[in-house]
Amino acid sequence: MLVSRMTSDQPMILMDPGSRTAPLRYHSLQALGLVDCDPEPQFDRLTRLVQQTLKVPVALVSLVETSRDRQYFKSQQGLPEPWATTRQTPLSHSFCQHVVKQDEPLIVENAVKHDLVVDNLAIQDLGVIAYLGVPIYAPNSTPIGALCAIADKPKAWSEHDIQVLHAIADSVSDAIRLRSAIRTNQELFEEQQAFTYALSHDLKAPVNSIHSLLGELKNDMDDPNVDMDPKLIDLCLTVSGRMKAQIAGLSQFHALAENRHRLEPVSLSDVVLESLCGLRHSIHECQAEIDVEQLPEVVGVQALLVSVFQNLFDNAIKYRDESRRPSVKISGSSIGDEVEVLIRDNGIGIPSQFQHRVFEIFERLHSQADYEGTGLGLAICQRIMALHGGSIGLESEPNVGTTVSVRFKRNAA
Amino acid sequence: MNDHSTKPSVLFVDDDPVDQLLYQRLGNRCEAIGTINTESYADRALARILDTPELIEDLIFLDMNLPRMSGIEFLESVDKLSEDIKARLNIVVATTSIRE
Repeated sequence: MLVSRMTSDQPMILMDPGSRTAPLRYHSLQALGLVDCDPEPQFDRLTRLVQQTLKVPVALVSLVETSRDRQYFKSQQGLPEPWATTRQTPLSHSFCQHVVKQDEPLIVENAVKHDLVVDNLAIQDLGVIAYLGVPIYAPNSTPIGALCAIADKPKAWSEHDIQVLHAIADSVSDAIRLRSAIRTNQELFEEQQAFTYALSHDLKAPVNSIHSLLGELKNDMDDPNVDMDPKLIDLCLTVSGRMKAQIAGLSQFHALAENRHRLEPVSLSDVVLESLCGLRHSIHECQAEIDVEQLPEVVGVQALLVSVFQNLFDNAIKYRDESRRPSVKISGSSIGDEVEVLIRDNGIGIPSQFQHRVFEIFERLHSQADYEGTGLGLAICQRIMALHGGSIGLESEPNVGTTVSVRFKRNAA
Repeated sequence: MNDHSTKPSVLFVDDDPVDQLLYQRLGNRCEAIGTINTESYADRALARILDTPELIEDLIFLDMNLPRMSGIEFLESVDKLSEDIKARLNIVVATTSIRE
């Protein structure tokens, strides 16, 4: 997208989302430190460069947040007070919103004679007469703001001005992409640490168990006065079987870090039906009552989302309260720019002091004797939702039930 | 057979059925140990201490990495108990975890 917009002959390595660079995760403007934070030299250098090379009194890096009716100035040079301090205006004062909406440069020689902006309050309140703005992009190539040059007198912008501003705007986009890459790397590093820990600790334990069980078995076999305890063999089989499941789960978990998935429109209703089909035997067995509302469409990877919902339904049924008929209710709603799906069960629930732990890798709240499991299901769900730029959380009351909330960003990734 | 009245009784708090069986077998082989009991959950062990402190085993082996209540949380709860209950308790911490 940006490559085609490039006017210089420089190659654009950073904007190539396909081959050479690692795929980046979705981060909000807040998470990247781009709004509601202090000015930074990284961006101030670029706005000063605009000021000097285009010989304009005002230059801005403006990030447009339509949902909050504002443009936020990550960097500003030459704005009058109070704007220089507040570093934001409502969209009634924004030329930059048009750059974002159209995803193309806005060139205004004289605002009072320009149909699109003639009524814009920035003319009288900020003294914007001449305006040149070009888009700034998020790492996923959606326009999120503009780099702009502003003058308080009419100005004929030259082809050179436009080219220079494009080149500097691409540097702003690169800086944002770099920030996202660093953040992604940090997250991957932390997950790698947890993964290595899990491997060294949680898989070492079953190997030790099998080793000890075999030692005991040998003791029994060597002693002519003792009958071999069949429990030793049973436990060996149980432990090695569980280990097999854990390794399979870990491979799945690890493969998700690769993050090379194509995001496509997905019907959540289809996802839920497919997930329920996979669990039809256990649903039938416990006579669970399943109630599914019409669900919205999201952007995502169908196979991964089926895995999320299958894990959640499996939990809802596995951790049922034996004293009542299991019930799972699935409902969806849109809140602002988010889609939320709730999975409400009437199971045994999770005591509040343990609720924060359940998404950790290999974390389990029950012994294997009570409930079989790898301790990976919810960790995998959380990772998949992170890949979708969404999130997963839960509320639960012991003996009443658990409600899992799965949230998607409408414009994610 | 062992004389349970004079030999110390032992409680293993460990959720792993393998460890439970291994402790049981180890204990049976060991001449010095009397009754051997196991609990899968630390909160159940704590409840037993609170309900019947006079019946609690002479020695408690505690795993740290437990589902529900962790070993650390168990120790913190035990620390808040009355002095005469605490005086009865002999807890040995057993863990392979580097985190806790």
